Amino acid sequence: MERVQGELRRLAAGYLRHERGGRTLQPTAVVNEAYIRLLPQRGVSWENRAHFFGIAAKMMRRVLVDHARRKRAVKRDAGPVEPVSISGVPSPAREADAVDVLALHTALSELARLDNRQAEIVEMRFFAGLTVEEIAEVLEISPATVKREWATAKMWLRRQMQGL
Amino acid sequence: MNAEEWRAAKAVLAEALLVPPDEREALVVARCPDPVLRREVQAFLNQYDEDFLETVRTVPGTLNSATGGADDADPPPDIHAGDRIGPYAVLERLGAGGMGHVFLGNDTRLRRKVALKCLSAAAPASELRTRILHEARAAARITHPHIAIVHDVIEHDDRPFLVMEYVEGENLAVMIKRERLPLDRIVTMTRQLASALAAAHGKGIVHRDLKPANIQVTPDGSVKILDFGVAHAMSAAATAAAADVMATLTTSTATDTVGTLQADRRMMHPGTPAYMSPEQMFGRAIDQRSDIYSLGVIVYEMATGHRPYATGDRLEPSQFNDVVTKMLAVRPEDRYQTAGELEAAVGPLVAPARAVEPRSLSRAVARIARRVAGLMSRFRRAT
Repeated sequence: MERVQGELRRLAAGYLRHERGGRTLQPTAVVNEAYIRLLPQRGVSWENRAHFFGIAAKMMRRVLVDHARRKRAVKRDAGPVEPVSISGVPSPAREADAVDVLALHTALSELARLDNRQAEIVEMRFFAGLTVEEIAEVLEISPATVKREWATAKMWLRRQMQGL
Repeated sequence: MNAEEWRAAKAVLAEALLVPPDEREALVVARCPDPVLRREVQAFLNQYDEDFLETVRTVPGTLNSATGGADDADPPPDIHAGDRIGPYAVLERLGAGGMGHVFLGNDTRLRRKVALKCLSAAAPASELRTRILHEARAAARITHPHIAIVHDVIEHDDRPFLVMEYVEGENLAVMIKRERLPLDRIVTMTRQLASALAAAHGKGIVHRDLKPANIQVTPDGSVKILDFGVAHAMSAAATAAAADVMATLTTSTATDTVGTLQADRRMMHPGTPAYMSPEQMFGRAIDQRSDIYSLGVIVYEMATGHRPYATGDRLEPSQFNDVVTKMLAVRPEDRYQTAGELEAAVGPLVAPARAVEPRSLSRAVARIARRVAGLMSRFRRAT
């Protein structure tokens, strides 16, 4: 996995470097690209796939949090900076959509204490960009369960992050 | 909110999401006789935003710089050949890495070589130093033929050092890259390593960073685990460092600091990702079964030449294959529960007739074979 980690870091760094102004960063693309490069096409057992995605999600979280920390440390007094989107959709700027990665990271660590699996689902969904169906496959649970966990996790995280 | 309360709230919330918004209120009232739970559930529902985290936007400017990594190595301590660390004369630097800087030293009193491992490049605060030393001393209590002995734990320049047996031979990481070992040899090594783990686990010490680089193959072909207890001692340092960072980041929300630190402590996972167990990767609590997983990755790599992810290949079907598969189970409860159990499973697979072939011998055989081949071809050409 050293190789995977290296790959993910390199890829993410590549995407992030090109990230200026309106261009979008797609974690899904980052992870998928790493995955495609690292996995020869023939038979991959689900167990390995699950393990891979679990690790990939963790890696992406770390990559993003590291960047956010470094950035925060460096640019505490930074002026207005152009918004950065990490979704595949170059959505029109809606301030309400802005997510503070560090705040999410902290809230997610809290959620993990209450419900570890739910936190893992958020990790895979948000940081690795897996679909509900993919997460269901990886964790060997039903898509309905993933959907439910994801929706309620969003409620918990939003409330936690806004201190409501 | 505790886990129990969240589970109860979550069940109602999930149900509420399935009905139209104007019916949710009534459903919540019906499902929550407890007014506290009801208020919690309503608070969650009131601020619900379906789009939250869906079209993700990060806080402006947090994502554009990409230099270095979180795992950047510590700066090396200012120690050179000829220096002294306590009673030990430094001969040379053996290596550096995430797990500290290592020097080859000479114990002038006993006239033997030792490996000196610096457990913290920066001088840690005294209470942290005490904790590191405590963990290191725990490691020093393990004695096993397949674990490198910890001779001493000393402080030099306010930094903790582990003084370990210097194990001659070749590093397993190097060996794996160079050659594919015969299966009976791998089985024997697995049994030795399982037996070593059982001894350490018996003293309550989990390695946490088992990898080929931490295993030395001695000239007689047997294996020794290095750095037992080091990851544990180092995690004290890593956790404290992270706590410092988090404390600075969260000064504005002082009330959250305690929770944040606890949460982030769980995130700390010293170890090498390639050989880390899934639970360690996810920052969960780990026990001896995590080492068993790591050993599974190592054994798999010895047998196939690569690690068990990223390829679909399988070991030859065999009893040993089943053993390795069980070591690599994602869920700790599906693995061997103790190293002793693993050792018992591997034991019968060791072929007594074909005992371990010392590497020096196999090398000598190879050299003779090459020489014979060379002579024969010359002979043929001559005739």
